[in-house]
Amino acid sequence: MMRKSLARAGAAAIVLALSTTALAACTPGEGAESGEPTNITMLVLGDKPTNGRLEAMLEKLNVKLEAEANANLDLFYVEWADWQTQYNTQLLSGDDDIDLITTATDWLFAWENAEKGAFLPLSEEMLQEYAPKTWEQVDAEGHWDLTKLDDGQIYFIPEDNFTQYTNHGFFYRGDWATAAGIPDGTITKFEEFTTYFSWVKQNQPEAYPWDVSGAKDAALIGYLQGHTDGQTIQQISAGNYYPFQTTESDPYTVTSWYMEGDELLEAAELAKEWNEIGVWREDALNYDGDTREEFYAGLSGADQHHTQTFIGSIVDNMTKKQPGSDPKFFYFGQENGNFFNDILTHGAMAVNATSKSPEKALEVYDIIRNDEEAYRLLNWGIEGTDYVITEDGKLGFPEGYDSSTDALGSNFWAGRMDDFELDRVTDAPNKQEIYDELAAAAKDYEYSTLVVNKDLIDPTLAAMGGVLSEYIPQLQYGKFDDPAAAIAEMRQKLEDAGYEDARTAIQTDMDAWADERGLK
Amino acid sequence: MVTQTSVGRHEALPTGSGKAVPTKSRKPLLRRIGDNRTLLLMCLPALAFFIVFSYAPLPGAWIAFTNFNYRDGIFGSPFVGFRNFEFLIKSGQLWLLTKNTILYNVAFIILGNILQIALAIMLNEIRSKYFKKISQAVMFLPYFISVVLIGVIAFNLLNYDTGALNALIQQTGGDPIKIYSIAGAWPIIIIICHLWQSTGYGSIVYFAAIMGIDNSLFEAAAIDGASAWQRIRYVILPSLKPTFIILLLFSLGGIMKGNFGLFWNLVGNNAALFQTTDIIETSVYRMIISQNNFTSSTAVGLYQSLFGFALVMLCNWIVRRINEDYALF
Amino acid sequence: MTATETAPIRTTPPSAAAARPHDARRRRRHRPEPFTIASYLGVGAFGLVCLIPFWMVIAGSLTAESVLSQRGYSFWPDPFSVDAYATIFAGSRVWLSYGATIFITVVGTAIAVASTSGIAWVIARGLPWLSKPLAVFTYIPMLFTGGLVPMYILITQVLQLRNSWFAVILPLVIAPFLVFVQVSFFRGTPQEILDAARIDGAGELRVFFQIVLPLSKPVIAVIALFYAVTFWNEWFHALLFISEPAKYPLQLVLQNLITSVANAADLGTTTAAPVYAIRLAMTVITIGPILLAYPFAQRYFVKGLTLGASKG
Repeated sequence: MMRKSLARAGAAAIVLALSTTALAACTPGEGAESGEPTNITMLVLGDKPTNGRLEAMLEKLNVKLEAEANANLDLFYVEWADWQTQYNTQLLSGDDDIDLITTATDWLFAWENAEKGAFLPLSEEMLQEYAPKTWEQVDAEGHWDLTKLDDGQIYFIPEDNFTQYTNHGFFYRGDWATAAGIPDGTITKFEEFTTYFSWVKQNQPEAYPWDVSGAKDAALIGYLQGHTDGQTIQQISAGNYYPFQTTESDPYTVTSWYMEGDELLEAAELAKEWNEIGVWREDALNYDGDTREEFYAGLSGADQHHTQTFIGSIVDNMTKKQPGSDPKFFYFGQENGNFFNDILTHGAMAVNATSKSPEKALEVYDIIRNDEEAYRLLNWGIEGTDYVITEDGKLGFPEGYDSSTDALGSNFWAGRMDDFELDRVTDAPNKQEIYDELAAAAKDYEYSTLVVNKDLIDPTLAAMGGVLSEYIPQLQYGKFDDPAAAIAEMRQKLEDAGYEDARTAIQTDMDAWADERGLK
Repeated sequence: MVTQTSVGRHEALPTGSGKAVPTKSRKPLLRRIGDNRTLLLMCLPALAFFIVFSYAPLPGAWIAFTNFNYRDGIFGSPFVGFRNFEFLIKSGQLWLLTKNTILYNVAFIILGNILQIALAIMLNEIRSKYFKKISQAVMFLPYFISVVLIGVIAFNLLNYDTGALNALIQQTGGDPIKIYSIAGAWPIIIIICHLWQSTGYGSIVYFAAIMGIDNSLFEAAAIDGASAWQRIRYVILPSLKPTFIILLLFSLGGIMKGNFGLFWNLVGNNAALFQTTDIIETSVYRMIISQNNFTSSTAVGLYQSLFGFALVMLCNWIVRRINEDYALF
Repeated sequence: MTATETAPIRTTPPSAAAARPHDARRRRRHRPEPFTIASYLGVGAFGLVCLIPFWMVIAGSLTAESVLSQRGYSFWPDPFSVDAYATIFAGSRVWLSYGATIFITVVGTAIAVASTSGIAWVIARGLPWLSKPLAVFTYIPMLFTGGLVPMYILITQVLQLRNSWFAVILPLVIAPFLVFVQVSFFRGTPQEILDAARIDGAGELRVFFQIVLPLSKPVIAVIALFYAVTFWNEWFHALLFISEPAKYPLQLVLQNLITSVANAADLGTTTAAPVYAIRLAMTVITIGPILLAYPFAQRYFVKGLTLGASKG
């Protein structure tokens, strides 16, 4: 009895709470043009800098924004500690103090949050009126389709005019590869790393051939990418893993390289061989050291991350810290051209569904994305104190600048533009070469507009994630005595978890999507 | 509101402890409230906090049965029955996880209480004021060390390539041990880490309880020439019984909930150890880590709560049959 | 201040002990029993076990970053470096965090102890129509919670407590467990004393403040300590509800440091700050002040103040 009445009271409180947020959502933005400038708050990810540089920059930027749009910009940070929880709870709270929200389809739950109603649907008229430059540029390239749910509405603005390659690969040392007898010191096939690693093991007693930490699946994925034509459907994850693929030869049939084919076993056997050589620490899974620093210190023969990381920091650091090391990059899928351009929604900007001034927010966004002066201020800071332009037109830092304490940290990752970007002094000298090479061979990710309804298969995906988290890390580090038996066992458990149901459900969405576009 | 609705139900209950101040049970309610307005006033702040921060959000657990979206809110989102619970069963791990979680907690409860009581009794024997103060402060330390650091320290000691323990073994001519591959070793390691972290801190309650024992009991024991063991057996331990039962009933409520941080930082993704170390929280974390999933985590929380609830009700019932004074309610 | 105040009350029970010096156990000092010696050894050994890893944390916090990230922790800081502490204390941030943490701890503990004592006494009174329902009412929140979502909406939307330290304090203000710990101590208050006071015409409040509370100093010290430690250690609510770095409590700063090591690596941003040493130094810094709370609380753990927690 007591509990019941309390439950009712509690329910009433919550209903009240939710309805107030809903009401707030319906109130139209008002008082935009009159008098006081409107405050626009943009949610970004990262640790809020405390060195005062951000505030100094915003002060300058806001002079401009006030003059042009009668608005001020402020940043709201979701810091890295437990960021997934923070980000998603922040969005669900419907906090009407936030106007612009940094999002992404591959790592910031853009589709999920759009479906759940966190983002304001953006009508074409609204975009045309308040963010005309952005509208035009995205529209000219036909990229609005990448941001629509199946209701046909636009939910966010893609960072579609900014080149970055976040495809993965190995960084290794050309000097050691040459010494290992690899022609030209350049590795061209995934298996060649066996030669390289063995040489490092025998000749560089201080170093691990590849000091790696935690539950990565790179060794398996790198092999699978280079030895199949499988293309991962990035929208569907199970725990930490991405178990659904299509193949280039049969691009509209959903399959899984964890379930089909012998390549997973080959990859696992190679991993086992590497484990026996001693490529990584025996306890790599539990190790949490900074392996990149180890690489810089000459204590690791390889490191693994994005192309972008190689260009932006590996080359510069290795040249300074390990002179003559001749850092090189092998990207996964290099041998068979099975790798992708970045999806265009790796960064995107959404307008908060409860924003009090969505129109103003779009106006501000249009300026920081398309006005060069505003763009430089927001991304780089104040010229002379935060950055300098060198004589050869590169972006550099002033004398005595220490990137660990002096960073601007504005973290605007949802509207950068190639047109305004400059080469950086720390960039790899062969950056353009690498870009050209990648651009020539990389495939476009075809399924950006595929929206998979996960409601029904979420439990299955979670269960599959549980199975994969049990087997993949151990396969990756070659810890099973009999990889074939382990893989058979894993496949059986994935079947039991409902793999076939999930695959069928995704296939249905895929068929509908392909039909609609006349692809099949 | 609370008291009004609850009176009818509880009026019929037998009068509780012998110490209860007799109340005239047929008095009209308003009169009774009026008579006890001071008492009601005294518990008002606590009631307010409970109602606002514990009871008001409770109905929100309903999202465990919905396909939650922000637009429709908690009670407007589509009802999906038990779908958010399905993944626990589909993973095929539910039994193992439940078993591991309970066994670890049983070990924590039993060993934890034994150690805490032993430590409290020993501390009580210490005469030197400074020794006592310093040692107690030192025992506090582990409680403040982040589990992340405990994980790092454990790795530093135990890993195969560079670990201190294996270095020692090799110095003495032995073969290094791959501790991070031996599933059987980890229950012991985890239990040791847990006890290391919580014993000093947890012993305070027992220590304070011993401090509260009437001196005359000790003196009577001394006059009778009781040995140290007899003093413990016949004076201290009986006095600690109510404290122990409260602690027990509270730990039972959480028997399905694990010390996630400790397990995660010690074991992480090392699947070779899961057979003996995977508990509900760690497994669920791995399953829904990349999903924007409030509903599944609430579902798991409900599963754990209901299990704990049933267990506590059972144990409380047993305790009440033995000695009503010790029961929680 | 403790023993003398309560001495008059202790004369009431018809116990032989009342006439004697209350600290009789100390008189046995001349004849140390084997068990006493064993106790010294046991406590000493356990103390060392607790101290050694902590020493490693201190040593690590004073070790140069480069060595720390490669060789791990050791017993002696070599090469010695105070860089981590210098970095932490360089800005005003850590002082602000101290301020936040102290506010949360002091205000939180005060509110918590007051409200816990109030409800605990009412439960301990054993009124059948009130105490049992209250006990159930107190226990349920221990088992069931609404989960993250409703709590988040409650704090941010209904109560509008975003960026307020009360968003960290209020949800933790009552721990059911500590209510019951206190109830069990209150129940040990001798009935004769209470009856005598009531016959003298003392009201509920007077009985509570002048008799029950003074007799309960040890348990109040215990729960105050527990609450203080809880508030001191709290970071999750701060993480969710406090977004202005100037208002971060210490533990959140520490948590951010710890996780930014992993995240920085994952996201390819480079951090050249001495993160490993800093997280150790920060651990040392966050532990310091709360350790002082223990001796403070300990002053009240004086025996003879309550007359038996047990009825058994």
